[in-house]
Amino acid sequence: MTTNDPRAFAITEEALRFIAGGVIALTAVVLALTLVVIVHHIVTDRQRRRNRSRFETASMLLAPHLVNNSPSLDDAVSVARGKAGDRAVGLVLRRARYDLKGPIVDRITEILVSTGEVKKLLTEAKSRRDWRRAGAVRGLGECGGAQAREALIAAAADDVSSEVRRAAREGLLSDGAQEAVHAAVRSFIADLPRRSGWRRSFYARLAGVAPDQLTELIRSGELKGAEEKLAIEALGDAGRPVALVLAMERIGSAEAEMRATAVRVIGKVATDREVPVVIEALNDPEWFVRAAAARSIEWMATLNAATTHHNWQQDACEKLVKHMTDSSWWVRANAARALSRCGNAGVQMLLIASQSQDRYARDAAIAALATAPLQPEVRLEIKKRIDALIEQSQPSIPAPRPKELFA
Amino acid sequence: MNTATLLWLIELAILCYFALINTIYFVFTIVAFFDLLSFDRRSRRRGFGDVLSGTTFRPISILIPAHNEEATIVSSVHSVLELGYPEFEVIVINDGSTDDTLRLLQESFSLFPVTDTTRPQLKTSPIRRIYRALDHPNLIVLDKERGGKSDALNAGINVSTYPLFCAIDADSLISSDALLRIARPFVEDDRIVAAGGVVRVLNGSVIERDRVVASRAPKKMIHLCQSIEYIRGFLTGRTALARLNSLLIISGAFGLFLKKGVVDAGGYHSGTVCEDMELIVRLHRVAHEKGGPGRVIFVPDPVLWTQVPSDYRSLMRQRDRWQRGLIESLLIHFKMFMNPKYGAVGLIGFPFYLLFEAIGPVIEMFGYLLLPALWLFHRLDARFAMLFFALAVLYNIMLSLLALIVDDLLFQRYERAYDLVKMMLAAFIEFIGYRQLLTLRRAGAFITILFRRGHWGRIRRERMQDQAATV
Repeated sequence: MTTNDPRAFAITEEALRFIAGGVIALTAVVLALTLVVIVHHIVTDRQRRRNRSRFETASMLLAPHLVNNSPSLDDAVSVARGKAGDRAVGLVLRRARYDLKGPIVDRITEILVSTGEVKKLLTEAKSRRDWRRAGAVRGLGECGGAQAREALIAAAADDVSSEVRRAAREGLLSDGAQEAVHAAVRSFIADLPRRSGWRRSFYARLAGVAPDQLTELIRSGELKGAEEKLAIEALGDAGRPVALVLAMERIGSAEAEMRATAVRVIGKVATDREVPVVIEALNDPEWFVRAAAARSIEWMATLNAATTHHNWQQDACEKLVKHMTDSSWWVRANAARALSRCGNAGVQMLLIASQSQDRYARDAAIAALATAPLQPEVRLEIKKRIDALIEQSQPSIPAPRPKELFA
Repeated sequence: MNTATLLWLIELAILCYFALINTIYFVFTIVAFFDLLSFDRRSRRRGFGDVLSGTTFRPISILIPAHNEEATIVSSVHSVLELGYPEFEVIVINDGSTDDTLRLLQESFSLFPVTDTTRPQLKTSPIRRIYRALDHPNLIVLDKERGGKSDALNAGINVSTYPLFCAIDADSLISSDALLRIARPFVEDDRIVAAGGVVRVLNGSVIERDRVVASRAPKKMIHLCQSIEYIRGFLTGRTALARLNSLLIISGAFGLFLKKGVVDAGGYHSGTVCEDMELIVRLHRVAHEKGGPGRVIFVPDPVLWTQVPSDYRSLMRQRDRWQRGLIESLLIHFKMFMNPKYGAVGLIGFPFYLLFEAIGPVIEMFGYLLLPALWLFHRLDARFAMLFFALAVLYNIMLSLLALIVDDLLFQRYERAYDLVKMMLAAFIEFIGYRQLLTLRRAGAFITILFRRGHWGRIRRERMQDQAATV
């Protein structure tokens, strides 16, 4: 580099020198940091092993007493605190409270209060950091009890961070007390989460913990459009009988999406009595309602196989086989799958369809037969037919070019 | 302008380039650190209730394209079949293999042929047979004529039945909870069309029954260098670019996609050797031009372990292909360059990839060649040499160390401190020869693209067990 350069270039060189100086200084800092990280790695690794071992010790000491709701649980907790420390004991008790049912739940809450776990979490719930508050309110939900509930209700209603409010609602639902669930629902309605996944998740939890409150919410009309469908579907997924009542009320809805939801819910919770309604839905003008109806028949035939009398299956098979030539691929595939679950009658119809002149019906039938639970001799017969058809392959067509795609 | 001034100008330009690119990466590292920290805090105490709940759960089709993968395919399929996810199907696409890939699959999984009942949504080369497995009802094997990886993935999409599909490489092992972790954002956000996970180097790690049970630093130098590159690229570069909504690459080795979005965009494009990048750029483009879900995100905790090349010839071929694919993808969608219509992708992502990832290696290579050339002709200025050392060498080493620090502080993937120290030492050695060799090959892609268009180049594969410390 020469010294008699134009000024602008000289400035650039000065700037580069400045950056290089910064880099050298930063490298020195990073090298020091590297040493710190290596030491930190060794320390945290040791700590993690110790925590794991403490958690295992606490679990071993407490599990038999927790499962049996033993009178000596308090003594076991004292011993575990001495051997494994408060943190591990608190964690084990919170997990146990979440998993167990019955009177032991209240007892665990009392112990968590007496050991200071709740107090510690209440302090953490006042932290300035959102993530710490969110973690603490989730923990409080696992602890239960009046003190924790009060803090959760306040957080669900007033916290500045939407993540903490959401965590508080989760905590309130984990608590399960009526007052807690009410507060969670109020907070949810006032602060409907932006993402549909979070809303679905809330409905699913609510359907598990307090189906009556969710039903009340649906009936109140506060949930509109897609929200109402999500809520009813959540009740159906949780297997709540009330979902059937709600679905039956909406099966004749003018809105096709609602009819499809109703049919799906009926498929998940219905008994033999509701089967005609689902079979009727196979005639719906909308393809996705027909597809949902065929899928529901498949569920009913599979899930209720042990309890149902299967009187309806012949009737369903006759209707389903007509939909093997439906204009929608989805309906054809679902109808074939439903037939494969409808016992011998369904399999026989699929076998006939597998020789159909209609290629679409034939393909759907063979695809369903390939995965159907069949007797070995039937499978052999299908294999022969497949071998006869197997020479038919797809036409060779070149893959798309981007120009075509954006034409 | 005399020779000295011209030389000085060139030197200055090279130094400016190194200072600029490394400063950008430094900023990326800082952005990524805070983003990963926030991600870690958010996800630490959360379970997978949302993903597993009946109403929110979405089943996944896993696509494994395989061409001459007899060394790894069985281990890879076993690892995928044992994933912890409630409902998924595995579709292995044997893309005209000439080795024993199909035979090994048939023997290992008791395959029987079924008829092709698919309605193709994407055009592909002919499918010869479709097989299902007796022991694994969720395993489907397609045997098709050779059409390339993109074609194989398109065929897999046609056969898949679920709304999300995950494309993974046949020479990889996937963590048991990786699907749960990568699927979570799709449950939470309807706008997401693609999500990428972390790909890490498998070589050297401990494998037990087709699963990585302990992460170890590789033994060979070539693997160590690639390991550092992967950590740097995935944890800092991609996290930061995703944060800026400018991510243009999701590794073809591990990505989860919304099937409808990909089908609407026309599926994978067969005309490029870097189909993963081209697809992501196209997904961004389609989302901006036609609407629909268009968010492409990076999820830093699901991990896929992949086997990296063990010899320099394979490595060079791989990097040449990646670079050619990058250039091709950018040329195909050049319309997006600095185009405000495409938002952050057009204004940040596209220029970054074009200037620093595509053209950058040429300037970098010029810098590496200039230094010995000046020395040879006794024109090397001590100030230039020192500045070059600080801005090109030291800065890069510091960035590699920072990436390793971020990785260890937040994820602590290596249990033993010994492995961490080994990786940190390798960050220094990586810069002696390895980096220059790769730069040279990447810069050379501008020439090879002219006569090797669409050519993949063969990479030698080894059995997973031979690559790892197997239990």
